Amino acid sequence: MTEKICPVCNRPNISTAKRCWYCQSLLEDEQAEPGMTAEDLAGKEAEVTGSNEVPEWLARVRQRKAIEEMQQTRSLSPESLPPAEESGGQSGNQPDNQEKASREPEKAEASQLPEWLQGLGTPPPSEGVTKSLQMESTPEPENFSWLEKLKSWKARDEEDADTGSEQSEPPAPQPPAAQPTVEGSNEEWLAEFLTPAEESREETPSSDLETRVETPAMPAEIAEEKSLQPGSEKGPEDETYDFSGEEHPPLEEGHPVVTQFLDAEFSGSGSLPQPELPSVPTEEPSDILKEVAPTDNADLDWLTHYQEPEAEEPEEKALPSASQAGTTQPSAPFLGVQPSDWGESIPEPDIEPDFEAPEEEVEPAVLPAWMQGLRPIETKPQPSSVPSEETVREGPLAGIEGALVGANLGAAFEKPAMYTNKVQVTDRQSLRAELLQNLLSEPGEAKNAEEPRRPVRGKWLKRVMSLVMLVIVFAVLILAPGTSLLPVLFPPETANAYRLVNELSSDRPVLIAADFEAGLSGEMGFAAQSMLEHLMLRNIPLAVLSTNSVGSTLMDQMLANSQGLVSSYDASTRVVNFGYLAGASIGMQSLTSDLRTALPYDRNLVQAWTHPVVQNVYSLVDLGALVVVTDDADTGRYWIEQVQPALNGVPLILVTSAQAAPMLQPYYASGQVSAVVSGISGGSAYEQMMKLPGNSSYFFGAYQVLVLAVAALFLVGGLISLVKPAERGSKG
Amino acid sequence: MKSPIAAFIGFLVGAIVLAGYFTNSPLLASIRNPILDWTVILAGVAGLIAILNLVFGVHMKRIRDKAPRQAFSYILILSFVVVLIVGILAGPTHPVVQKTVTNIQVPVETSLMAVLAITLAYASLRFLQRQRNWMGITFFIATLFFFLINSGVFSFSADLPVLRTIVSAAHQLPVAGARGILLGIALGSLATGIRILIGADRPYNN
Repeated sequence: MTEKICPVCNRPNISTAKRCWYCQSLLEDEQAEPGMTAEDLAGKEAEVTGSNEVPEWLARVRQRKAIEEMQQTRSLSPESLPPAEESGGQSGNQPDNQEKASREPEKAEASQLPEWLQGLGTPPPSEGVTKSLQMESTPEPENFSWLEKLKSWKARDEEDADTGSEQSEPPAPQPPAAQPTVEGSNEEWLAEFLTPAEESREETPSSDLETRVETPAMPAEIAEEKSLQPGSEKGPEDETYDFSGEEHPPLEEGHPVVTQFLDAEFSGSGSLPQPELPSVPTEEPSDILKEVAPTDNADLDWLTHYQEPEAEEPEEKALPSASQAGTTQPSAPFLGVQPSDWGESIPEPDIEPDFEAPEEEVEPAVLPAWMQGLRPIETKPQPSSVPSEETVREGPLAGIEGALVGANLGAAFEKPAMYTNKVQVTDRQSLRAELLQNLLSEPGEAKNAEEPRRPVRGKWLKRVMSLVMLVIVFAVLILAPGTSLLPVLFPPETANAYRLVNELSSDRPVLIAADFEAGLSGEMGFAAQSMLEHLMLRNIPLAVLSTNSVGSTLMDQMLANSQGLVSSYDASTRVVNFGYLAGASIGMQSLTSDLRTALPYDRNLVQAWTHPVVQNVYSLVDLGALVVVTDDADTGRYWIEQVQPALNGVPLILVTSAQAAPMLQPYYASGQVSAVVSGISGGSAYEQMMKLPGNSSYFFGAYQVLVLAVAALFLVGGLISLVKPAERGSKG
Repeated sequence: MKSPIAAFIGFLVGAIVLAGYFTNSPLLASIRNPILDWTVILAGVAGLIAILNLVFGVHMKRIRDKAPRQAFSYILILSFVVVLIVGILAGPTHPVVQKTVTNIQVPVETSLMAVLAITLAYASLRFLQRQRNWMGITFFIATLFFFLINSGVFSFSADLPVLRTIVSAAHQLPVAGARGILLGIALGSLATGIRILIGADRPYNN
C-alpha cells in the first residue's frame, strides 16, 4: 500500500487520505492542478469538506476564492514568466531547462500555500516588502514554526530540483550575481558593519532600532516603481520575496530605481561605497563572516556563533546560497527573512561580477549601539574550565594531574565590614537623657510596708502612761465629779453664739449641718449639746442635713439626747431631717442656687418642703440661722466659702472641735462667721452662760486634769531627753 | 499619656464643675447636678466593692488559710452580715438600726482617738531625744505652754492684768498660724487645680 507524503510536513499518510493527518494540509493528489477549472476545484473542495451541507453563499465564496487561486497559479506558470536570460541579468549562463525544472514545482506549490500565507501577498508590493523587512528586523518566535514548515517544504522541492538538475548537468560554481532589490537592503545593512567605524557613524542616519525599521520603506517605493514600469522583467530572485505571487520585474544594477534607492540609503556618501566592501565571497556566508570579522574581534564572534551550526545542516547545504540563487537555481522563498539562519542569508554586496575587491586589510567593524543592545550576552573572557595539565598541589585533589580547577571562590569573598549598633553618647548627652527620663518617669512608689519592724522601745512605758491617764480620769470623775477650773471671762465667739441663738425668731427654722465623724462625736456632743438645748428651749424649728454619710444619724442621736432634757420640744413636728447631701463643697454650693432642688426629699424619701417647718423656706435667706457642727477645719471652710456669701445677713454659727477651732478662728475675726463654739471648753462656757449645768461641765474637770497630766509628762520627758545622751541618728 | 479619653473627660467635667463655682447659671446647674448624682452612685458602688473585698478577699482568705487571730475575722464577718440584714429589712432610718450603728461605731472611733492621745503623749516624751536643736526646743516650749493655757489653769489670770494680756495674746497666736496655713492651702489648691486641668496630674488614672 502506497503512502502519501505530505508536502508540508513530509510525514506519510495513507493513500486514501485527502488531507495530511498531521498538519491538515491538502495532499498532492487533492491539490489543484494547473489545468483544472474553478468548477473542478469547487467540486474537489466540496468533496473534501462535504459541500452538500454548505450553504449556497458559502459555496459562492469558495468558488470565488478558488477562481482567484487559479488566477494566481496561472500568473506564476512558466508561460507567464519572462525568459531566464531576460530576468536573470547576470544569470545568462544558467540553462533554461534547469530553471524551468526548478520553477515548475515551485509554481505548483505556490498555489498550495495556506490562505494566511497567500494573504501576505494581497497587499501592495511595497507593503509586503516592508512587512517582510520588519519581520526581518524584529523576528517573532511564532514565525519560526511556519518558516520551518516552509523550509522543509522547500527542501523537498529542491530535492526534486536537484534530481532534475542531475539529469541535465551538475551545477557549476556561479559567479556572484546581482541581488534582488529587497536583498539589496540586507546587503546594505551588512555593508554598514563592514565599513570602518568612522564611516559607519557618518553614514548611519540613526542608530536606534526605529530608524532601522523605517529604512526599508525605500525598497517599497522601488517595488512600486518596478510595478509601474511596463518593460520591467521579472527574475527568479524576485520570487524569493514575492509573498503575493505577483510579478515584479528584476532590477538590474544601474537601473534608475536602484540608483535612487542606493542614493537614498547612503545619503551621506551619495554613492555605494564599493571600495570599502570586502572581496566578493564565493563561499558560504559563514566564510564571509569569518573573513570580514576577525576571530579576535569579540563584537562579531556571536554572529559566527549563530551561523556555524546551521551551516552544517545538509538541507542548508543542498540549498543554494543567496548569491547563487539568482544565477542557477531558484532560491528558497523566505530564505532571506528566516530569522534563525539569518547569518547564512547575509546577502552579498551588490556589485558587478567582474568587480575585484581590493587586497586591503579589512578593518574591524564597529557595531552600532542598537546592535550592541541586541547582542545576547556580553562577550567576556570566561575563566577557562579546560583542565590544566599541571598537578594540583592543594586541596583534596592534591597530587592529581589534569584535574578540573574550580573557580577561586575564596578571592570572591571578603570579610564583611563590621558595623556596630552602639550609639556613641557623650557624658553630657547621657546626663540630659537621664534628666529627661526622670521628668517622664512616674513618681516613685512608697516603700514597701513590710519592712522589718524595729523592736518597739518603751513598750512598758506606753502601758504605764495609758494606765496613769485612765487612773487620773476615773479618779477625778469618781472623787470630784463636776469640779473644774472655769474661766472667768467667756470667749467672745461663744458669747456671740449664745446671743444670736437668743435673738432668733421662732418662726424661722435653723438649718443645722452635721458634718462630723463618729470618732469625734463625743467631743462634738459636748460642744453642741448646750446650743441644741438652747434652741429647743426657744422652740425654734430645726432642719438637719449632713454632707457625710453618718452625720445626720449622729445628729439624730444628739437631738434625741437634747430632747430628753427639753421635754416641751416636739421633735416630730419641729425637726426635719434632709439626710445626706452629696457633693461636699459642690453640694453646699448648690444650696445657694436652688435650695429646694438641692434637697428635694427628707431622710424618709418624702417631699421635704411640704413639711410645716420649712414650707415657707425657698432659699437660705429664709432661714433663721445656719449652724455648722464640724470637726474638720476644711469642712467648716467650705461652708464659709461656698454658702456664707449667699446668706445675706443670716448668722453663721460654727460648732467645732478643739483641734479645728484655730483654723476657723480667722473667719470669725474677719466677720464671715458670726459665732464659734469650740470643743468641750466652748460647750462648758455655753452651759455656764445658760446657767444650765450639763455634760460639758461634768466632764470638763476630768479633761483639765488629764491635760495637766500630759503637760507634766511632756515636761519630764523633755528634761530627761535633754540630760540623756542623744540617740544615734538624731538631728542636732 | 496613658488614656487620653479619660483625661479629656476629666478635663471636661472639671471645667464644668469649676465654672459652677463662679456662676449661678441654671444651665450649668442642670449639667452639674446629674454629674454629682452619678458621682455619688459610683462612690457608693466603689464602697460596696471595697466592703466585699474586705469581707471575702481578706477575712475569708484568712479563715481559709487558718491565719492567726481568726476570731477577729469571724467577728467582722458576723457583724457585717447582721448589720446588712437589719439595714435591708428595717431601713437605715429605723431607731434600732441607728442605735446599733452609733453604739458600735462611736465607741470604736472614740477608742482610736484615745489611742492617738496616748501615742502623742508618749511621742512628746521622746521628742527632744531626736530633735535636740533650737527648733525642737521651741516646739517643746510652745506645746507645753498651750497645754497649760487650754487646761484652764490660767483662769486666775483675770485678776493679774499683765498675765491676762499675755494669755489673751497667746490665744491669738493660733489664729496667726492658721492664717498662714490657710494661705498656703489656698495657693497649693490653686496650683493643684491648674495642674489637673491642664493634664499635668492625672489622679483619675491611678
